Amino acid sequence: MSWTLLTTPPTWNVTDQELLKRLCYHLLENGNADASTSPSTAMFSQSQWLAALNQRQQKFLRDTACVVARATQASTPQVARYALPGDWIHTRRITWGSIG
Amino acid sequence: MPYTQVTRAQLRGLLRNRLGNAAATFWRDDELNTSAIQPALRLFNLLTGFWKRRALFNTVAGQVWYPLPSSITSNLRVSWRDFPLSPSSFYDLDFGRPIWESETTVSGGDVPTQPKVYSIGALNLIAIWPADAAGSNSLIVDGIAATPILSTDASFVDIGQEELSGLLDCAQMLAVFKESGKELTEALEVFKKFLKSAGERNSILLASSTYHKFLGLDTLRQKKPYKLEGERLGAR
Repeated sequence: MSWTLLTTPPTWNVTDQELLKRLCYHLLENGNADASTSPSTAMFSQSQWLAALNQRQQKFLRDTACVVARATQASTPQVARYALPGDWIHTRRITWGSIG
Repeated sequence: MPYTQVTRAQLRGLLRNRLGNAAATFWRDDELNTSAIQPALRLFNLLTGFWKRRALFNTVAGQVWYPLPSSITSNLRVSWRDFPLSPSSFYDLDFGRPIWESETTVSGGDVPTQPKVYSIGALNLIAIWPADAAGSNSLIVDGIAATPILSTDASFVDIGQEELSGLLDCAQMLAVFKESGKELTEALEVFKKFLKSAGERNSILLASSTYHKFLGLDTLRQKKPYKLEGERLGAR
């Protein structure tokens, strides 16, 4: 049993680089130079910057459900439980229907 | 046709004038571009839906769900072969017509012979009912466009000069976030001016209770408190 993703996530024009630079400026971590698009400072490592962004992004998506993906799989006779895809945050709606 | 009146460099100069003499050393050019001007444009677009875009699809036979292009961040109006569709909610569709996803324009009975209703699944997804059985018909989505990115100093801000004052109010508030303290507190008044100018452009915003509350316009609750201050049980 496996899920087939029916929609591809959109790619809007806010980039991780833009957000990283803004973070860097707001936290006064740019020093005497333009903020880097891959910042690594004495206080925050690059992985910490990215972890903070990813965590906030996931929380935002979880709270707002502004981007929704659809996935489908064929049901199996006599099977009542189905594991969700590994990257599933939250189920919004489920439908069952015959195909064809 | 986009506006070609003010470039990013000119807008940044106007912002520096507002921020004062120290601005040239306290804020870097890239910093103002990244942390003040571009976010102000995004916020302005979010509140007013200033930039709009139309997307044209061909329907696919029997397809209910249609992903939207990333050039549209929120949809406002959908039409099928130039017939406008009525907005609905999934709650209404699910509970009003439980098998709506299986119905097409040739289902017969009380199902219409052309799509009549659309519903918003998310920012990136819409559904139509009933699905177009034939396919290859035009589906037009009008929506709010993604905010333009000002990539160079010579890039023109696609906005009229009548909107510049409000936009600079917002950019000023975002810039002084770095200063924090009293400067930031005082800049909140400037930010309210930006919100008011956004409200003038978008009447939907004016109807929002959150908007009224933030601007301090929600005075009815203060005049008629539901509970008296210091109210306690027992004899008074």
